[in-house]
Amino acid sequence: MSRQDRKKKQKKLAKEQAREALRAAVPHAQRPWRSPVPLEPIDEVRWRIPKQGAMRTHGVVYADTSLLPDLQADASLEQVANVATLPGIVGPSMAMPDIHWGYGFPIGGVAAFDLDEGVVSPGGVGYDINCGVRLLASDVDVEGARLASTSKGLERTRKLVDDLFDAIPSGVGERSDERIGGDVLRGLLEGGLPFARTLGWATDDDVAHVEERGVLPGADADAITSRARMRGGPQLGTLGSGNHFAEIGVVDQVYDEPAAEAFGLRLGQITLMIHSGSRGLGHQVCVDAISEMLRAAAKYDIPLVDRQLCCAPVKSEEGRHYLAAMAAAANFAFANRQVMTNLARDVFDRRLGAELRTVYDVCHNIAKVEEHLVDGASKALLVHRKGATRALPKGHALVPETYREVGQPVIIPGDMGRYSFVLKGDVRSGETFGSACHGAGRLLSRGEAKRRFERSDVTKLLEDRGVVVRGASKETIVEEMPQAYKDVADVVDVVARGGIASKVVRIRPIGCVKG
Amino acid sequence: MYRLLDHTGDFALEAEAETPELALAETARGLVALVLGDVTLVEREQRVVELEGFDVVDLLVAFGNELLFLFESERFFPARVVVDVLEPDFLRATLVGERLPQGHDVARPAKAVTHHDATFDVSSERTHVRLVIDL
Repeated sequence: MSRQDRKKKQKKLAKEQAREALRAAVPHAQRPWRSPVPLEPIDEVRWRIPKQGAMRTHGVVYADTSLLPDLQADASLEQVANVATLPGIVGPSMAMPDIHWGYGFPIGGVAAFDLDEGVVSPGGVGYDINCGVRLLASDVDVEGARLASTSKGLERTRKLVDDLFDAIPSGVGERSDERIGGDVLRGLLEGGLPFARTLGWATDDDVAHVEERGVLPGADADAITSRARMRGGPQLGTLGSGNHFAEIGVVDQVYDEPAAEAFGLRLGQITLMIHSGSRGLGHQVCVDAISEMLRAAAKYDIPLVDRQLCCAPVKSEEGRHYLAAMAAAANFAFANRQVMTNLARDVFDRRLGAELRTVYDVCHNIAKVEEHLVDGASKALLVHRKGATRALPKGHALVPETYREVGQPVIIPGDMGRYSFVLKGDVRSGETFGSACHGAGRLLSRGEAKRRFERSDVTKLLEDRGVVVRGASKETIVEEMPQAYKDVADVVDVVARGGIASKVVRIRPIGCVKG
Repeated sequence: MYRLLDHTGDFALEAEAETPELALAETARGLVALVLGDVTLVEREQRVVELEGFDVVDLLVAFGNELLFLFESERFFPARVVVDVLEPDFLRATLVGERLPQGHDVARPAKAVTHHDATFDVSSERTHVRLVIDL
């Protein structure tokens, strides 16, 4: 063999060795179940996923027989079982009836962890930290505002929606017109809504009607990377994209008069619902954390059935660091929805001469230390809600005083063509660590929705149903068509039959700004 | 070659090429197409990114997230990607493309590239990658 050939051979060998190194992957622990995942009936709305393999507990899925076929069509039930493998889980790994396939945790997943033995997983919160929804009630009704579904009413609704669309920046990477300084950003990250109140951005009434009064304890602005600030800082007061929206609605059904009255809701009333989160800041906090948590899982020898479930012990350095950053991002999200509330208040004042009052504001993607009953005793747990809503019953100390006699408002948006619901937390919500569903849940993938509707004039289709829609992107509107979602009435029905939360009012959309 | 696949609330992206480096370049093309749709980009300016990873799958996910970061923070979209160095825990790539103006049409949002079912399979003939993207 010539010298040249030897060199060639060595080069080839080195290349092969490099490729071999690239093939090396972190070993995956065995997933406990593969679809179809067995479901054992507990009662008419609860199903058990039996404990198997690496599962430390069983799974519980809230659904009825009409919802089950959709749940079994994808890998979401596998994900419920996967979550049950995490160390220190207390009670079952749970899924709300709007469950659908996510990444790591299913969307609609709820899991609580022991503070000493358990873990915190950024994947159990998701990228859009404190994505949530705020419901605002106006002081006008649909007739008084002349927004009824006549041609003149539709025209007035179009103007209102256009103004909202112009006022609230939406779409990918849109930036706010407002520029905030570093001190203000730090104040919002650590002080949330109470800090926003000191700036005159929020009223005492706003603060009183937000989950956790709009501030998570333990937030540390220094736990947020400069990249997260750079990515999301300029997005304060922006809607974002995907399933985010600002939706004008009309209360069209009242199921529980006393509770509706307590929430300040009445038949025919115009409402506004804002669904958004912590924008790029929260996305980047999660990206940064997951990278760190992969190393932490290796360091603490936590076997992973899905890398997106990477985690660290709650009280470890990595766990505490993530919780401090997550709390800061959550506070940013509270402030984000408040700034959009103010933008919407200006529009409602200008167009309708109406005021908007915060009914309630809830988190959908969060991990929080909460007290819950475990085996009859109160215990502090880290509750992960990934696409789930806190739902506390009447009398609970964390329910705002004005609502304590009836229970916490649980805001459940549907799709933009049918209806949304406001529920109140009910007596059996303790079984889900005070959690309910957060929406309708997707039925069609985005790709399938696009294939079905991309050739349609979706804006006209929705307007024919009395809903005026404006969006930053036609693709997003198509992918968010009502048919892409389950009927939220079916989902809410399961929650109500399960005793987690009961119906107070239904809201029909008449205008929607999509991100 | 890349393709976008359905995943209930999100999208999955699969890319395939002769080498790991080219597969990463295809991944970048796929992400640009997911977010921007069918748009022709111009090679006006370049960025060099250097990333460290826990392993090669982590690097793949980090590479995707770096692109999304540039899309959102700078509105920079690469027309061409050259992976200069790819080691099991380090990657350097040169991105050549343009910054799109504020208000430019964007087809679809993308919050992050996830680790869920992420794969980076290298054989002597082809490299296949798969990612799930949170929208």
